Amino acid sequence: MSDRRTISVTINGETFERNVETRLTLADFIRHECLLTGTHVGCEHGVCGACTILLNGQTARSCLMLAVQADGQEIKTVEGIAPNDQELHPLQQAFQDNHGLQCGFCTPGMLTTLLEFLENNPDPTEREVREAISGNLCRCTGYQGIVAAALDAAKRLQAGA
Amino acid sequence: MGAKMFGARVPRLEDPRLLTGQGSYTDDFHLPGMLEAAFVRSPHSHARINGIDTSAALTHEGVVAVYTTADLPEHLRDTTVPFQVPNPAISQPFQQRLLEDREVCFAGEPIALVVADT
Repeated sequence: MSDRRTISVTINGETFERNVETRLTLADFIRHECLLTGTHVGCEHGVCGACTILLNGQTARSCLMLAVQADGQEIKTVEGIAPNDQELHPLQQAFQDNHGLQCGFCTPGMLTTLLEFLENNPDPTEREVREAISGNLCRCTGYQGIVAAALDAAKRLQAGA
Repeated sequence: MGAKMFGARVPRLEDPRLLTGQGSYTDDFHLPGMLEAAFVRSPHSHARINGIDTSAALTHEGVVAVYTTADLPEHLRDTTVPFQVPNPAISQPFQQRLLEDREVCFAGEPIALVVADT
């Protein structure tokens, strides 16, 4: 017997109302119910960070949350970072310019994590950046580029780019 | 054309797509009529299988098929395949049958394959 609830979640400004099983994870809700497959599921137990989303502006592992817990909340995923279809957010542009991604699987989690981090710490040291992304695994071993991208993004954001 | 690339920074064409969540990884594909498959795996590290009853699973809503050893073509039923890519460093390569129906030798060994809507 399945226990279901109707929930309403706002993702990137669009409201999704769905009747879901109470055991459905938020990650699966975003990917399968809302068809936003930019959020990736790597380990399904909170280690890899690929599924990181912003819940009311704060990072959260969407694989460790249930969809029903996000009822009435506001979420931002990787699809909602760029200002429009033509432009990239300065953080995304810095990733491209600094070779901050290879296969792109960890990228959504890196971007959401760094988005929150740079908001709280607009002028970080390299050490602080490494600490900030310590919960996000990149298996292309691209940390060097990611750290460079984050530091570059901090400069661009401060310059108002 | 080649000469222009030497020493040049070449922007990757796939980056904007991957940076905005528009990439297409295997699990992102949704084709019309697509079904999902899941393996039933042994919960025991070493056990004998006395029988496999798929009838309850087959009556479950959305289930299209349940495959066990008996459903495999005859020449594949006892065929074993390497567990890891063969490598001289692996001195005792482990071979396993495609689906086990007699004796499981590790927790997680595949026994049945369920195909369903979701």
